[in-house]
Amino acid sequence: MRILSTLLLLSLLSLPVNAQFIPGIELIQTDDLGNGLYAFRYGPYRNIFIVTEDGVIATDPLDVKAVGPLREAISDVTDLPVKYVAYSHSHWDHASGGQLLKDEGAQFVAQRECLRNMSETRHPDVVLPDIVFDDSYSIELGQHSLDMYFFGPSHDDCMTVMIAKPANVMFVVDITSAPTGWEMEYNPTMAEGYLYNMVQYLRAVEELAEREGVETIVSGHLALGFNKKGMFAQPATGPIDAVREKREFWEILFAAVAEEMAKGTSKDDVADALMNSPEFKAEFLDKLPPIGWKKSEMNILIRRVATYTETGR
Amino acid sequence: MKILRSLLIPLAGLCLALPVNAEPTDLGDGLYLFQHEGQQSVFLVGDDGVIATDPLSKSAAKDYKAAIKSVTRKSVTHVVYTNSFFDRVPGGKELANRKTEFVAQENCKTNLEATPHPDTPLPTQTYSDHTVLDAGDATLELYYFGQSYGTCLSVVIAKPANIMFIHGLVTPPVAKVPDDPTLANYYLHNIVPFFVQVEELAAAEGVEQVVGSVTVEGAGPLAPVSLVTDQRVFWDTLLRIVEVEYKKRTPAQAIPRKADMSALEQYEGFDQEHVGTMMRRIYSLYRIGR
Repeated sequence: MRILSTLLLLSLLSLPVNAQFIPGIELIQTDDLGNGLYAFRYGPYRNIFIVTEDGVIATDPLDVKAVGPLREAISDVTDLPVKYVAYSHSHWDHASGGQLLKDEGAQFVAQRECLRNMSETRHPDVVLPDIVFDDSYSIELGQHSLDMYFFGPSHDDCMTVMIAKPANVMFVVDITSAPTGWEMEYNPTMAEGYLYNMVQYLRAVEELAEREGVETIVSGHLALGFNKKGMFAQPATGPIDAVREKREFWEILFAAVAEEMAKGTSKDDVADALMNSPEFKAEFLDKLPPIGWKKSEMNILIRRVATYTETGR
Repeated sequence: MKILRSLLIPLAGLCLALPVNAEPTDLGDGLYLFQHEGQQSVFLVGDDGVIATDPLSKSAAKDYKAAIKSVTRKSVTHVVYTNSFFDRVPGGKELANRKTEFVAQENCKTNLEATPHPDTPLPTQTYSDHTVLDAGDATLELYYFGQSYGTCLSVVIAKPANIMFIHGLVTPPVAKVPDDPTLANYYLHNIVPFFVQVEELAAAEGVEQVVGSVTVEGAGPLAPVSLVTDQRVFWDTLLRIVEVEYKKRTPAQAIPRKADMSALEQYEGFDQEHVGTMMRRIYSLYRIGR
């Protein structure tokens, strides 16, 4: 089974959307994950919502086009209102469109830095958070909760992971992907990626999952797979191992770049050196899916890591 | 201008070929330029002592110390980190005595606490928006205008020389394309406003010249302060080109092929692939807001 990377996946998003945004794959999909937890997907973007006896806890509204179908998907399950919306992070491609839910009285929750980011770079379709927290926050509603955790900068500087209870499923966005963490980054320049804390962040998520007995993740993007019949949508859920896999992705890449630069190779030449290295191929490149990443994109990612190696950021 | 492109010294690699210049360049009114393997920092000599900026590295700082001693016996009262990057700030202990203050914008201290470097003492004195370091008959003024290149970049004005020093973002003699195509640590949402504020500061303070942190072989260290405007126009132009494509819903990966780069060809260091990579990064500014 081959998995197409988010790279290709998101390039498909720019195609005109219709009922099937990729042949054979519906534009909109809702999965009942049990214990009141649902995964909702609009194109390649995904969120979760929890239906409780006292109302609904939603997450990232995605954007103005997605939030209407999201609201319909919630209405298909319950007539109760959305009481909370939890932002995973501050990037507009996940955090836009919340006004529809705000209008029905939902309170928006985010890590404190998200409020700063959203206030600093205002987007007309992004609702500012009403409730902010520093390290962790639990949204409790009925017999359910959505527990939010922040472990420092990673994909942006306010990214949280969330655990839906009692389903005990973790929602992770952009820091890894189900079903595997061995995937190329969508944007190899790592726009706003805080590389210096990426490994520590993912390790903290692993420890959290271990502590809480979490075995399953839902990721913020659709992953595609291939079989003999063609392309198909991977399931909404995957094993928690994807977090460790992504941590290993970064650890191996950082170590390889640092080792190459320690030999005196310049930042601009590290990519060529590594891409021609049999050891790098065996230890890193061969772990990536054979489809879904380009050498030119990997060169850019390696160049980005070289700057991190030199500057510490 | 194309000729200059071949003369630009990259931050790493080729710059190793440049000799270490233990003789600092006198920029006037107590301000000197220390150059080391393609990088450079300024230091200010006043009646009360020396204020040195970015020590560069432990080994560079030994030469830096010698360079200072070649012009004065006065001690270093302040070591200024104009940023928190490890290719600029380590080595300060080589310049310091027990009374020396290590000065930086407060976010630099946060950064260095989060990711310590063994050769980089933490700042002992921080500021938020503006501070003035007094060397007696001369001062070094530090200004912070938000995230730009890193999260704590200080814009420095030496007085009475009235010369501005900016790390990374401005490199005399001409406006240029940044060396790092991934634009790591560039906070694009604030890059143009940052330059605008620097231009306003220069006008308000009557600054006429600017010096950068990279040595350009064959060119003098100073440029007219209008270089700040030229560099802002570069960023404005580059961002607008990508914004136009974003609004046309051009996919991120197609922007380097479809964007009209002709307005950028005049800039030092222009290379289509290099700028194309930058455009991938800039696309995210419009897609995710950062």
